[in-house]
Amino acid sequence: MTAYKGDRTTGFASPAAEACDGPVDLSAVLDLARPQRYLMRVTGQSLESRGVRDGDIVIVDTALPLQAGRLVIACLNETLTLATLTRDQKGWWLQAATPGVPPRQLSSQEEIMLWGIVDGLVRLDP
Amino acid sequence: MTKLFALIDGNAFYCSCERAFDPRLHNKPVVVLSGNDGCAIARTNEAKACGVAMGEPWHLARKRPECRDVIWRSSNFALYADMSRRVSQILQERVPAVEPYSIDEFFLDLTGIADVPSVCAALREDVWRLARIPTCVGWGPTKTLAKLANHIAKTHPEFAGLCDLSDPAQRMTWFARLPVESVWGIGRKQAERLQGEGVHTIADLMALETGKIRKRLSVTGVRLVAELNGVSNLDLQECAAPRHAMTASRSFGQSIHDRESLQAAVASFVSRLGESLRAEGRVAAHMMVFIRTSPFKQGPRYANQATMTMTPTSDTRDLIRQAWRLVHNIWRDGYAYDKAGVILSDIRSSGVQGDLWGDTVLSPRSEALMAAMDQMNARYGRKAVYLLATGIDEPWRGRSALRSPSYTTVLRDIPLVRSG
Repeated sequence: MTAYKGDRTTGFASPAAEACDGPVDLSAVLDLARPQRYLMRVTGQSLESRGVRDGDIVIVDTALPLQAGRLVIACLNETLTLATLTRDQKGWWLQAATPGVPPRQLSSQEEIMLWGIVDGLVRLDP
Repeated sequence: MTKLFALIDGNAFYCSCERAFDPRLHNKPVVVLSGNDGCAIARTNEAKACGVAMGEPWHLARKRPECRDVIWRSSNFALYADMSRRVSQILQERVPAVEPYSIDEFFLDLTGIADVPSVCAALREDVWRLARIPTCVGWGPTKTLAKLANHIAKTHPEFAGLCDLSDPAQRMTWFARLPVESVWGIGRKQAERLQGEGVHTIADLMALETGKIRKRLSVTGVRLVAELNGVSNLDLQECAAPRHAMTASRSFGQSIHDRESLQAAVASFVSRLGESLRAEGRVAAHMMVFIRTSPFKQGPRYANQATMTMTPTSDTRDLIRQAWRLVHNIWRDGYAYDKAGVILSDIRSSGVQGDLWGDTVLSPRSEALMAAMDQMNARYGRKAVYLLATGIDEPWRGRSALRSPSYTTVLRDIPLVRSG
């Protein structure tokens, strides 16, 4: 038995039978079935100015290219941390949200590793 | 066209999955334990350097002073399965054919592809970047050579995770150096027997005449030697063949002394098997149940099994009824049971006509009820609805106190990220 979607009626044939899209699938919109997409939950208020709140779910992509200004997930001091990616002539930098914390240069060392790039945000019960 | 196969596999796969989401584990010795936290089943290089052996019991290893910095984790198969799914997708998007050989190994068919070394290096790089899993890749004209090349890549860090065995001359130098048991398909027992006859290296094996090989290793051995010579006998198998038997068994976290608890455990195994049967649209016509006490612990020992042929079914209720009948036949009071299992065989597709004189096979009501259960469990998580026969809590499941969250499969378990 397939669910009724506005298509298969018993009396008058549905004029919409060829036009049944079904409900919007957020998982498809957010592309969550792709191997490089991950979900993470934000803790802390330091990014409120960028519209990212405590408890928000961020969609993290590990395949996107680096781009200055983007919010990223980095491994800093053995912790997954949100930071802003910046660039100058010396290379790429991670700027933490907390005021007064100096930027860290991106290196291939594991302790300051770029984990992924924030590509979306879901806020339930805003 | 000459064929070309590669084998890519995750380094200490379970440990790497744990590391992917927990930066505190980077560069540290990490060990993943078997179900019930029994023994070591995956070790990082750092943990190997601490002397943790594969299969070493946790309660012994954790007490050794050189293991005091080791980070132990209970196994988290929901996580490992999802990471394996990611690795497989990454590979499928990049190469024409992928065979999932085990949870952490994939055979690739790279026949006709230009610049294989760069392709393999790029695959390794992409799996690391996208799934955070370090891998090794080995390749050659047969699956057996790809597997051997992978083994060489894994054991020679100077190769940076890559090894090419497509050149016959180069193969020969490796064959002279590698012991015969490093070949895929030669077990320890066979290797010992071969060594007794002076066959130590792969080159020794290949120098034997065909008749001798057939005598020692049967026709499989002859095919294997042909594969080592670069003649491909084994093709890529893109999906697992339908199974002829299905098993669910495990050692209990704590011994079971009463029949009701054992029945609950067996009912739980059978429920899982019923779910798999229905997912494949198949029914089973034969069942075996076994129970046993621990071979390691003190106390009276007992082990027994019982089998029966039944009207083909995939209805969990029928399966439980039959399994309990078998338990009834072999249960003896007074023992501390440590393991039980159920094996279903004679598995057929559910369209086949069953026992004409028995109850109707797969009545529409049964099918609808089971489908509803499966849908609810798929939607709301395992054991959202279940038969009470499996028991409410599952004391036999035992310890897994060190399990990490299901980072990628359960919303409340997704990794936390600090905003500064």
